[in-house]
Amino acid sequence: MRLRRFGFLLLLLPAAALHAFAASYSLSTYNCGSLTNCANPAPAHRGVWSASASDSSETETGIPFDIDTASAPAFYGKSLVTIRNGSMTLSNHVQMANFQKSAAAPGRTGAVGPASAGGEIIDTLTIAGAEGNAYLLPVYEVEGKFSSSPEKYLLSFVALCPATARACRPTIRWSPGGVSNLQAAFRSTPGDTLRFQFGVPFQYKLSFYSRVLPPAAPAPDTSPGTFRDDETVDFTIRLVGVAITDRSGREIPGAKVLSESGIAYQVVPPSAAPVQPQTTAATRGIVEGDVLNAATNAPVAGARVKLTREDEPTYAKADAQGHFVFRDQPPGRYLLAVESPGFLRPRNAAVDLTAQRPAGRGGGMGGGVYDYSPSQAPEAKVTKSIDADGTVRASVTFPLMAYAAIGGKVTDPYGIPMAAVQIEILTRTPPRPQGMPVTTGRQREYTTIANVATNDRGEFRAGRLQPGSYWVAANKGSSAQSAWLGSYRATYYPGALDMASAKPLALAAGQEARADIKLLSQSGVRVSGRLIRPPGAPANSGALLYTRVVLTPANHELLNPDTPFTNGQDDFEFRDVLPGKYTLLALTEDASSDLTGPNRQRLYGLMRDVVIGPQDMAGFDLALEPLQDLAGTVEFREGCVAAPVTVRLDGSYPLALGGLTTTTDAAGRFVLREVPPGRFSVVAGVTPNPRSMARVSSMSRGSRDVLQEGLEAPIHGDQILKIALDCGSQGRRP
Amino acid sequence: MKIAILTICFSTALAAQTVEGGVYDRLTGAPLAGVSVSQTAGVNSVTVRTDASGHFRFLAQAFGLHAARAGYLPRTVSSHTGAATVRIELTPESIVAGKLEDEDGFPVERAQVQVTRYQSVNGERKLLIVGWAQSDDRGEYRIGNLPAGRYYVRVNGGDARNWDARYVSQYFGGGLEPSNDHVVELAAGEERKGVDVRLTKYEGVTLTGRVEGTSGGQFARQVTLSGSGDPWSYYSAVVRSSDGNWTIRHVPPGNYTLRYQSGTYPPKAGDLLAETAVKVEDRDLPGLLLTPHQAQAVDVEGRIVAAGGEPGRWQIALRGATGQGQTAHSNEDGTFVLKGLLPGHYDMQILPENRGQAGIMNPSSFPLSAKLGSPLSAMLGSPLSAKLGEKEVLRSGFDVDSTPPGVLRIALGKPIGIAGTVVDPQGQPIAGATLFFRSDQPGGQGVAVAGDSGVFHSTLNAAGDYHVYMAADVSDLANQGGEDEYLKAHAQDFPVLHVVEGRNPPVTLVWRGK
Repeated sequence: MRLRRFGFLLLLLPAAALHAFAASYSLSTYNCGSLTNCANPAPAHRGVWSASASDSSETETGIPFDIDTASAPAFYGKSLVTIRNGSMTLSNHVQMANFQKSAAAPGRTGAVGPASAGGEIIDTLTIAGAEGNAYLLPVYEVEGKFSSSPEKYLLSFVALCPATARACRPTIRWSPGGVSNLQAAFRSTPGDTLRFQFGVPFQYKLSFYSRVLPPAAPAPDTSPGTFRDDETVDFTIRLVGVAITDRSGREIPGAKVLSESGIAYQVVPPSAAPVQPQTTAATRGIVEGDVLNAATNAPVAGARVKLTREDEPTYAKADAQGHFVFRDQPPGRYLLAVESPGFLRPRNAAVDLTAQRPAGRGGGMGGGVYDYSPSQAPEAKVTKSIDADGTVRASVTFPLMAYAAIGGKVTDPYGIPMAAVQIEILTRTPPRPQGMPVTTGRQREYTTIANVATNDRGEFRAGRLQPGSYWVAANKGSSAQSAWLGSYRATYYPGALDMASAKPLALAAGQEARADIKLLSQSGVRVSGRLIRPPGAPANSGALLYTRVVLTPANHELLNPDTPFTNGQDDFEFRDVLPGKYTLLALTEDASSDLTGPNRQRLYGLMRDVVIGPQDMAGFDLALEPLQDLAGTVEFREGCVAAPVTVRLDGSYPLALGGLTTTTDAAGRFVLREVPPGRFSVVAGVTPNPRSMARVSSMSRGSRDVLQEGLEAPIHGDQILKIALDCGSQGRRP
Repeated sequence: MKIAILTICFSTALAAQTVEGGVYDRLTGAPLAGVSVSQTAGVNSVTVRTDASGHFRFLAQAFGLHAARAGYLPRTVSSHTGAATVRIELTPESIVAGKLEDEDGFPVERAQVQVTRYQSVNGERKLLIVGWAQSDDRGEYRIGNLPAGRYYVRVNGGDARNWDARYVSQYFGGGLEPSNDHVVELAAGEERKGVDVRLTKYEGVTLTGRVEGTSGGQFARQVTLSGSGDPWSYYSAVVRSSDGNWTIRHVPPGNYTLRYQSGTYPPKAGDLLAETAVKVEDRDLPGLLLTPHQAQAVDVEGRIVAAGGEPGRWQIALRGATGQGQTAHSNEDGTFVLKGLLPGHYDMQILPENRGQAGIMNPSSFPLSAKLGSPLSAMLGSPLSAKLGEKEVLRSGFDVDSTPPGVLRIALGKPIGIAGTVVDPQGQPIAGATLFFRSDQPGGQGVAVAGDSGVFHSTLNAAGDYHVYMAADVSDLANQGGEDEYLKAHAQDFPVLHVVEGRNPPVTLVWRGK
């Protein structure tokens, strides 16, 4: 195959090194490097040449060769296999073929594809000798013969990373060994052969640029030069081996790949005509698979399966062996969903039945590298093969995880069932996934993951729980049916007044646990006092002033606190308050400013940390303060494009207020009006594009680091809140 | 339905008095332990618990006792100040329970099961939801707190977790409509299990269409189809941003409103909105075109007019169907402007600016009225009528589109003060009674609460003949099949009250009810 307009360079090496390549390729270890997730790559696209030369004309005059990875063999990238004791045969047949460069014209990319449309199945791989999940990484070789003249040429390889990953650095080996940079400049000798070996778990674009560099220029570099267009090169890219690695790209010790036809793979002779990769409409496909219990590997008989293509679903049921088949499916992209009673629903699997494309992957469509999900349900495995008659076959294994449930009965301290009690199921807040930007200052220790109410028999049930540890809390509901006395306390299973003394339930997959709760009753004390308006406040002249006073227990901010309510008059009274530490919040609003909605004018407020002792507290007067506005600015840094930013206060529970959101003006300024009392996190984000790369890098007001410590109100002073957004590079390294 | 029997005592001093009594099961007469009895008036209600013999006792002010216990319908009764022994009878609740399955025999989770009943409201017979619950992970549901009655159980199928989009909302016994063959008739205290619903697929018809001229937006835009039947149903489809096309499948027959909105909910000025009515029968409906126009906010001007003299200052509050609110304050001459109304339907509430003049109490101390629907809900100084153009919109609310709808004229009735004493057939005053006055005149309603000695006063807005009702047991009202039936049943509880213009002498209302 001749290649016009390109010259090629030869590695300037000692002659001995040129013969250093081996006839058989041992398994190599390829590291995913800085990638956190070596997921299957996106289809071929033009990547950014990160070390680009300053001569921008080269992308126009130079003609890159692209390996269109969409036309790569079926298991390009990674196919997950499970190795068991003994040996296992890959369910799909591996098709390996030579790549051929089709004729390229200036300005256009040549597509490279398999030698013939269907390809010939020429090998079967057996993987043996280890256990666990493994990934197959292809190893490619590029071999070419170049004619050239003794000038300096620039050669580049560009690795295309998945779109959401930061700069990735593939490892490239070339004979006689050693790791390349992304660019190399070489001096060629006619007749020399250059071989490169690639084995990286994502696609890459191989671009050969020949550019003449000035004689004295060092390499690699970005010196300007001129392109040659009278050189030719023959080259072949071959799939020469397979590496077996774990998820991070490390070789699995003891695993072996045996090829039926031996290590030296056959090479299909290139055909004369250029080949365009096509999908023939007549190609039909089969989607089949097995539904298993993830814990026992037993088949889940009767599971139902839904295969959706362009919103049109087809249904099937797994048989007694957990096997299902959808025949005669047209090529295209599909979503596969599975469910069965008693199991958590796994995420959908994406299946691509196009002959030329990679198989697809489990774990859902989209998401990519940042698909963080707390679900413990293992991902589905999708493998693809092509039958002898050309039928594309996608095989999917769906492991299902049985879920756990908690049920129980709530009674009053005397044993009578309690209806309409609010049950909260709590877990420890999981650590924030790596790489997620932190925009708020605080995080609660426990998170409510389910909220159910007891029925007329006092019974409740929370199902669909993942295995894990859970706390159960019973609290006063808001229904008129609730027979909750003032002396009843929010009670944690099995019978504790706070989380510290509560016992979590440890649930395994499929377990049904019981959590009966008898409410604890404990009389409290009376707390009363006067509400004192700020000096200078107008008298109650026609405005409808309502003041809410709330006592939130300091330790369990999740649960409903005591919320009495006074109507603008001057006293308040709490009854039956348990001694302990609380935060007291008071807020006075003018209800006549908005009778119907939540946008009432907020006038005064107060926040105080208080300790309630064992005695009644009368004369607990509250000096309300006027509520101020909070002004602020948003600054864009480092490569951001200024855009309107939404600034919001989080944490107004339990006052549960609206109107704590605002948007910056054209100058990046904002005002949050009448900030009510409380401890808030400030959340800022560019609207309305949720995929904006802007992240909050700092938030401060005066000397207070609002990002770490949050914001406290009522606001004092007139310092402004400064928020800085950082766009930086694409994505953020974890 | 019997009302709680109140023993009338001599009223004594105004201060808080001891109230005691007992709570009993209405069907068996057995005393009930563990009932929470709370005083409903005032802000910090006191709650006590009945002991093993069903007795309770506490210091209470004014009126209103609320009794609740698992397994029984909660009740609110009025009491008296002074030492009174109150007997409260609680009716055991009725329960509907069952399991939801689909055609594959799989449990249907998180579907909303609704218990509906026909009720007469404002002279119309409507199917209302009186209880609902969500099915759990086993597909099971249990709906309690139901009074005796005839019910139709419905599963709301239009939710996103629908495994097969062909499952639509359907009734127990199958079918898209309630059917007398599958009515669930419950006696008081009856637990009916096994009300299982098997969701079946409906192919329905396919609606396709296009939203015209939509520019590329960043959010997935949707077309929604809301059924106007009741209870209502809801379908939606995503608009393809490339060509504006959308498809909604498996729609059962009915009358719907098709809507498009370019922004997020609720709509804002500047959003593109489109709406059209669609009647679905048994054929596919292709080619439904929606032409959105930009949502413009309009201002509505209005005027409050009093029959004679100054209208005073009022607040006019609007609440839109999307939850937005708008309030205007009238000027001295009664004019006002409601600014920035987006297209949609709005309900009105008109209140005097200075609440003191209408003798309004803390809303939280008015749970009795809060439990009643209109027209018996406490209308505090309500106007007689509100006209937008020729249309009377006081009760029904009005619709706004992009063009200003004209002037809203609110006519106030001339307030007529009435006062008197309410007594039992033996002539003893009934302290703390809540009285409702209702006539056929527009705006002819009022409410009053009798004080310690049975003395009440109120303001009515029109002269005429009024029926008087005493809500001794307000929570029974909804349970008795709706207001119309209650009003008919109790029309004779008091003699008709004749109210004239101008000054009305104090009147003694003698209660003849049971």
